[in-house]
Amino acid sequence: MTTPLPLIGKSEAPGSAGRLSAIHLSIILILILAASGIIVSQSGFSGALDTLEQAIQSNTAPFVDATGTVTGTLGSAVRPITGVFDTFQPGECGPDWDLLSFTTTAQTLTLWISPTILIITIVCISLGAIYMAGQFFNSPQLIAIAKDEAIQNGMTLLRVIFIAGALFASNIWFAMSTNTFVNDPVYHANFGRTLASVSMIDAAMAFCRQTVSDMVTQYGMLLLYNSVVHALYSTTLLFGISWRSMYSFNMGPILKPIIDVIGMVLQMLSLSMSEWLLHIVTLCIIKKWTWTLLIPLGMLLRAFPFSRSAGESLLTLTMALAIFYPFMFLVDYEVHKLMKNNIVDPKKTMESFIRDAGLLRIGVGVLTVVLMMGGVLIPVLIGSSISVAFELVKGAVYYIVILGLMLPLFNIFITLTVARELARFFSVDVNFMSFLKII
Amino acid sequence: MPPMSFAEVIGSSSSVIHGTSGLWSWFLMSGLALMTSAVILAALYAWATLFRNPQLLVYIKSELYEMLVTAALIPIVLGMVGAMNTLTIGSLLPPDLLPAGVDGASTIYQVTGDYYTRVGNDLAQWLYMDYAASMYVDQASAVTVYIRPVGVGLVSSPLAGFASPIKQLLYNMATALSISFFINEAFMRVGLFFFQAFLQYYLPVGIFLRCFTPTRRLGGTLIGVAVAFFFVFPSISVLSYMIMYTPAGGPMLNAGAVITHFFNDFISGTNFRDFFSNNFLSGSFIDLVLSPFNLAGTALQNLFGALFMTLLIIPASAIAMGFAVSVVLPTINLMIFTQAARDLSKSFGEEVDVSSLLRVI
Repeated sequence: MTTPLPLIGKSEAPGSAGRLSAIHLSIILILILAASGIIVSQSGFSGALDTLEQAIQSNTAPFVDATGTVTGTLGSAVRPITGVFDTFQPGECGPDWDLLSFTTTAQTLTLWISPTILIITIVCISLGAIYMAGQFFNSPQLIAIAKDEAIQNGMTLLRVIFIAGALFASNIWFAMSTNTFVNDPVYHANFGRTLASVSMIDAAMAFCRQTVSDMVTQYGMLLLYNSVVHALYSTTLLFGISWRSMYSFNMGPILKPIIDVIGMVLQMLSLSMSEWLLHIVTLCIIKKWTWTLLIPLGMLLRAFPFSRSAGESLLTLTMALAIFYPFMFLVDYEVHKLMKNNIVDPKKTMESFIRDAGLLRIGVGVLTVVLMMGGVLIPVLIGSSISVAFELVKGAVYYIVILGLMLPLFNIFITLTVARELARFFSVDVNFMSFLKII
Repeated sequence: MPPMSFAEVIGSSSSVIHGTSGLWSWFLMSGLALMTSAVILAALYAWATLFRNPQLLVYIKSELYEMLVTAALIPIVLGMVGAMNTLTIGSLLPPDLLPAGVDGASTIYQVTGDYYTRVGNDLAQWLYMDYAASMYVDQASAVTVYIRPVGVGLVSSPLAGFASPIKQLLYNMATALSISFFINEAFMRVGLFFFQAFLQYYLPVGIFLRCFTPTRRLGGTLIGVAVAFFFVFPSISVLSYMIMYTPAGGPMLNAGAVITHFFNDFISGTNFRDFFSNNFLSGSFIDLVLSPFNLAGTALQNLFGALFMTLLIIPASAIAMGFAVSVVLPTINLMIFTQAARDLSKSFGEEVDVSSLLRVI
């Protein structure tokens, strides 16, 4: 917009030296600004990229490797806070909670073996009492009930042995299958232990942490890009030689669709990230409480005819959760290893955008001056922005659609289907699919 | 009358459970119903004997057996509810697994109420912090720089691109926490309703109806559902409490400590104070004049550090934790509860299709 107004100072003398000096003064000031920008703002956006990389690296690396954590000891106070990822660090469900793996602690054993033995004892005494009452009253009905219940409890024990055997076998299979993946961040980096001690559920949690880390990187790069583009988008340039004679224009209306797409992608990516953090919590709960709570509770519920089907469904669900749910994450990881080759590294994309595109390398101050002086450069910048936007969005879409939606859905669907089929095999009717609908 | 709390409804001194005017006041009514049933059965027996109807005789014997079972059930069910009301969590869980801050002498019912109250308080606290953080982030997104020396320059909002997506994330956090708070509160209210209504009306009415021959099956169903609520619901709630608040780093305890730590730091201004002092106050006046663009650039650059990680991970963590405590665990709990309720109602009377009711919910 042009506003033809009288010039400052010497307006009464058109073409005079005063007018020339005002223009010269403006140009000199602009050059000073540019020079100061060149001198002091070299770190501009490239510095932001470096800072971002450092922040992500320093926070996510120990999180993914599960190193540098204080392992929670049973009965101890809450661990000290060392970083934002402490909310999901594996200390609370680390090796202390391994059972039927290769490392364990007596304390964990006592936590689940004691209540289980107590429950079995109570049930056996009750059955003995019923049997004796049957003999005393000469009641074949009571004796039959006692025998039937004894058989049912024997079946419970068989089921628990089956679950334990299956879990043990799955961990053995996992250790044997992955012993050559020494440098694999998921199969190897688990609680800083040797490879032989890694269990399937630990690897599943490691994959979740790695996925969260990747998503944080994607989010960070997109956010940085969004900051750059949004700065252009929201900028109004004012050009003139006085307050009363200037024109202004907005630089970024054309960028609005890109801003919208990136905003949407960022929102969905953050939700996917939350979802994977939820997977970590769920896997941690499964690992920690399978033997301490779920199986003893299933045994207890199954011991009584009134709650037998509840116990049966809990046992089948526990088996599906302890074996098939983590196994599905390992399948996801193998899929991810293949698929991730199709997406570009967001850090490299941003580096090429910031460092190699040329304009942003010289910092915000000079960029502004350059843009003010040469509108012809704007299409170059916008062209570069659009290509980078699409590359970044492609990667984010993979994380949102494949890792955020499809694979977790498959995992839950397959786990609940396994639970349903197992329940059917044991003649229990549980509508697991209605729970899938709830989820 | 204001709604009663868990402690008031089912406290150790609850008049509903222990007083003669509460649950036990139905004891007499149930006895009368049993006597009435006995009279009816006696009349039917006389009729069957008079008209030599063996089918009716078999039916009467079966009903008589059920009546005797019901007579035995009355003191057993009422006594068990009373016993459950005095059962302490310390006698149920090993000391290592007691939720943090919970006294082992508290009763199961009290701990059940405490669990939902505590989760609600935690979620509300996070929601409050989310609101406070949103104000700061909203301010950051609205910052507008005016630089027009001698009429040349620009007007820009350099932090808008950073703050807008974070604002959306904080908004998502508020939504997730609100939903979680709502679900948690719904569980608590349903629990309170069942404790109040079933203790005072449905359970005694169920016992009464089971004593009366024509309504035996309906009464048994009511007893079954009531027993599921009095025994299974508090048990699974206590176990959820144990899982989420174990002293050795229960997820809610852990997340609560970290979220409170970082958000309090954020809200108290430590992060922002450092941020502004490092970026705007440390340079000389000459720097301020000569390199305004550089200062904006440096400020932007430093945003992508610890502040970014805090603002990104904490809301995402809160969303995940909110859903863990109010969706994942309740789903497993609901499965156990519905199976138990179905089996119990079937054992005492008629099967209730609880799972279809759940689907409706």
